[in-house]
Amino acid sequence: MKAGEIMTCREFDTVVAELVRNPIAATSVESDLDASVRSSGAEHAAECAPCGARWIAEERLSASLRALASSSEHKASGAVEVRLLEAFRARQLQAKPSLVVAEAKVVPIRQTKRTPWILAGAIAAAMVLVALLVSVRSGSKGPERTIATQAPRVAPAETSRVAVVTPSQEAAAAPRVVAVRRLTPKRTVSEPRMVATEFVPMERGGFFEPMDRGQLVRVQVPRMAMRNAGFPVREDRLNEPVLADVLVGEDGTARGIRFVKYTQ
Amino acid sequence: MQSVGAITEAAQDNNLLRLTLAGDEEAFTTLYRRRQSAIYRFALQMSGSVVVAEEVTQDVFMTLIHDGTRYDDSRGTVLSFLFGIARNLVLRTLERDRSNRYVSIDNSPAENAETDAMGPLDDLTRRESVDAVRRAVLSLPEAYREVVVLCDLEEVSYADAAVALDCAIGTVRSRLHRGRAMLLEKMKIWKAPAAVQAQFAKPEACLL
Repeated sequence: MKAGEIMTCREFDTVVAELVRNPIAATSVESDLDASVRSSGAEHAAECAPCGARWIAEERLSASLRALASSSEHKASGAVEVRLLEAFRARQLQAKPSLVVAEAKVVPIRQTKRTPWILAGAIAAAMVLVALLVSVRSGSKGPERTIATQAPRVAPAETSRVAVVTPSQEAAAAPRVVAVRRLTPKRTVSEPRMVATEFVPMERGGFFEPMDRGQLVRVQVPRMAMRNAGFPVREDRLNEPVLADVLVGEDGTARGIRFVKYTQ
Repeated sequence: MQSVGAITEAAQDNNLLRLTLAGDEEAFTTLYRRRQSAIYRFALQMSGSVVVAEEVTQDVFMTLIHDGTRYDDSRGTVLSFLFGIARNLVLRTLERDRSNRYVSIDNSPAENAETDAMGPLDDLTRRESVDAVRRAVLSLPEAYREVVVLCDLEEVSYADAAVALDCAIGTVRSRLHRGRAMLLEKMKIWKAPAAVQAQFAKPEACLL
């Protein structure tokens, strides 16, 4: 439409929504409407009563839609993020088949409606207990431990796809077994190797409860947690983050923790 | 054409997706937290169900984890890619559960009862309540609903909406126009007078 041309009602109908949605030409970067169409539309609405009413109605509709949009502050629950991060880590483990936690079996990310909430609860419980480990036991000197680096054992090939892992009775009952396993006896130099401490009990009494199933939850904690668990940590590194696997029982309580790092 | 802010956002998303596909967990988390609420809201406004919205949001990012390499930045932004996945998942879900999902504003007895008793202006405040708008949007046919939700509620650009909906920009624009007209009528905010409709039917008769 050229400047100075009179807009018809039909033409107005085709552009009114655009006029209302992008009222300021300078910000309507994606609008096809140029300034002349805008001014013609405004002139038409001022002179034609039905189209003026239409303009007002469109503005009310836009206001209502904005109200609806601003009322929709919803977002997915935290459990979704937890499940996605598990899937992401599982995907990374698939991409690196030599990094395997031994004697693990795959637990589907989506099993039942109930399972994710249990898992989320378990993770929350684990986080709380790790936090307690950091805070409550700070100041107390535990027995010094060393990071074990025993020779790795070969794990069966079918355990290579790990999402949430279930440690065996042996692993649960014998926390000093080192969890450094890999699939193949030989590995290339460039592959990162997982080094982990032994599991340190987190429950009172100092020993693992026998259990059939559990889950390993990977978290990141300050190195202070390592010191409080009895490992030597330099003062200047106490606030640095370190990866940890928290062993969570079916009842949601954290049974043990081990600290993990990857080396070349 | 996009604003500078939108371009910057798109570039950040691109970078986060690249890092995600390289195995960077922090990048994935950041990308998820940046975009999950938009995807969730889209699914919620399309389906009217928080269960569907949650499932769709999870499945969209699950698809990103497993098939993120399918993204082609020459076709559109990461956000439009995510909306496209969400749209397909929502439509599939709606198709599956069609009998349970539809909520029609026209079937609301209270709505119709008051229409006769009160004038449209007197009842405007109530009609413009968020609930009424939500139900009106939900009652739109899917082809119009998805455009209204994307462009008017999520303020996605026409170009991004066209990528997400796999159609031309002109189609987005015309569907939005039609969808808004349907909303106006459903919400009884405005209805084209007979005289105007007659004018539209005979454009040569237009006086202005």
